[in-house]
Amino acid sequence: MGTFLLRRLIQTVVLLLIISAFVFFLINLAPGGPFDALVFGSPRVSQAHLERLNQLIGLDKPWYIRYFSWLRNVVVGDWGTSWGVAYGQPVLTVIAERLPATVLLMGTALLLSLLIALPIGIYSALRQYSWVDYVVTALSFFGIAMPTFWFGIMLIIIFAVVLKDTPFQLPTGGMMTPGMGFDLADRVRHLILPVAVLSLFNVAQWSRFMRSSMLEILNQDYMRTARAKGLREQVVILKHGLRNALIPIITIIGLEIPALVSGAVVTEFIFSWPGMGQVFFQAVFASDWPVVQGIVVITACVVILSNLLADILYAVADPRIRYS
Amino acid sequence: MATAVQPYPRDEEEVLTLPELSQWALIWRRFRRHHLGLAGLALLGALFIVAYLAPVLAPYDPTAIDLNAQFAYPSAQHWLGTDELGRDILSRLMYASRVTLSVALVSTLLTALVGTAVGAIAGYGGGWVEIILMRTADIMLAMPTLLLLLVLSKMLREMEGVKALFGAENVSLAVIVIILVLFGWMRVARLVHGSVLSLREREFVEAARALGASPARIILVHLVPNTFAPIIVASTLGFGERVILESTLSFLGLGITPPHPSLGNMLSEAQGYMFRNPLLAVYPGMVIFLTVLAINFLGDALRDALDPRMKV
Repeated sequence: MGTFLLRRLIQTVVLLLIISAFVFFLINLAPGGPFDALVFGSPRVSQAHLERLNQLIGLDKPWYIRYFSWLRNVVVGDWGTSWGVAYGQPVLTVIAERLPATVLLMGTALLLSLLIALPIGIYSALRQYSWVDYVVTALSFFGIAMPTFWFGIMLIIIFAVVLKDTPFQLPTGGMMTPGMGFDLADRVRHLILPVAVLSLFNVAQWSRFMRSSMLEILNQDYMRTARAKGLREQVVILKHGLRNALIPIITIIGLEIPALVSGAVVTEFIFSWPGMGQVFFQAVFASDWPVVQGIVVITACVVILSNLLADILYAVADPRIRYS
Repeated sequence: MATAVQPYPRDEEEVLTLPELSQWALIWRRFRRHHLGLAGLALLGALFIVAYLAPVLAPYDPTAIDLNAQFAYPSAQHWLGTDELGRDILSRLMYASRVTLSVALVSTLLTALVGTAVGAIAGYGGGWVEIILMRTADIMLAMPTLLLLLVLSKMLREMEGVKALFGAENVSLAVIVIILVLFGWMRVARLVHGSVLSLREREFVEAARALGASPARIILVHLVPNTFAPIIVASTLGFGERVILESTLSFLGLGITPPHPSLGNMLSEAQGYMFRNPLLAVYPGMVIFLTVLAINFLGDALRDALDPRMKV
């Protein structure tokens, strides 16, 4: 286990280095730079001036040299300065301000998706070909084919236009009612629609995974053995069945994290949720590359670390797996 | 008197004289049993026909502005009503579907081509070529795709070279196809790589090599045709994903941009008028939803029909 952990950890670090270099290279190709606003503001700034300014902050060096100095700065906590969405502010501050909102949104959605998808999938598998199973299968097909942003718009139409001025009207923008202090009920009401949008696809897909994983386990020999021992059905299903069926789910959900991130960007855009996805989107439009780069790198880290976590959990959960 | 049900297989004589079915006939036979797959195929066919015959079928010019008929409700003249500029929604939907379907189709074909090439070269070539190509695929699969698509889309459409190459008007179409292919080839490459790895050890490949066939000939003639089944299934399901991705990007303003109508940018325009006419936002999403639903049914049926053991 120790060597396995160490090897995976080293692999993860190498992967992060490759991805960050790739992102750095990509963004290095982008047209525009930190002095665009200067040139735009006063046409008298000449090409020679620009070159001198670029030289001053090291922009004249090739990208790989700049990558290493960027990397060194990132390690000590200097992620650069925003030149668009939050002019003059350190990128790390911009991200830190937005992170809690995104964590709240994604965390709630992740938890809720698991709490809904897993029981549905298990029940579907236990009652294969019952009407519940058919309904769940049909709904999951719909959920998978539904574009996230359209589902969001439909919810806004239902809960803000059709149900306007009824008790069911729900807020469709932001994290809280402006001007209001912290109020739990208000927070929850603002969370409902974005979380619903973000969870739909996951619930649809994960319940399918859970169902097929459970079905596979139900046909295993050890299930019959457990029943033959005279164990109660409940114990057989939960202890012998469910525990084993959950193992592949860990990996699958680990692999689904990038999709969750993509969903979060779109959801934050539709509901003006003040999170990282929203600021990322604004930064892309404003060609604020330092912020863009910071957020892509952070997201890549989260994605890769969650894959690592899934791998470790997998090894812990399944004693049959021995990494040598 | 009910006719006696023929037991199957019938007597030996009869089985032997049954007409021989070709590979494709067998596939069609398995596919036909899949009712949802048939429904998906029919729906998708209808969508394609309506979209591609838009110039003939559309009742109005999709760009014709009629400021006297803004936000008209569905009527005999305008079956689905009109939008904020009085343009006929049905006509716009037809033209937008044509753009959306074309972009998905072209990018899916290119993705299949690139993915197959990479997978086959990696699988047959082996060595460091394989390591580099397949590691790249792994790394790209682990990246937050939508974020990078947004960044690339913004960057590419501003580059002078890209503008000059495709013309300012068509930049958005070209860019979306390029980025969808750039971030889409990995899954097909993995599937082909896997198939080629097991195929290249088979006797018929050895025989071809013994007869002096070049690596290119072995890959093109002997290996790739044997990987068509997973490629077709993955591409079918990928087509649906690309419809959603393109619509999402267009909705966010970084996909297909006017003057070309697309289902995604129609939705983003409609978002501004949700309180005046919510139906504007319902139609384009409905078309996307039905397209993806149809293609997913089709993909599922194809998977069962092409190879029941296959897992994609």
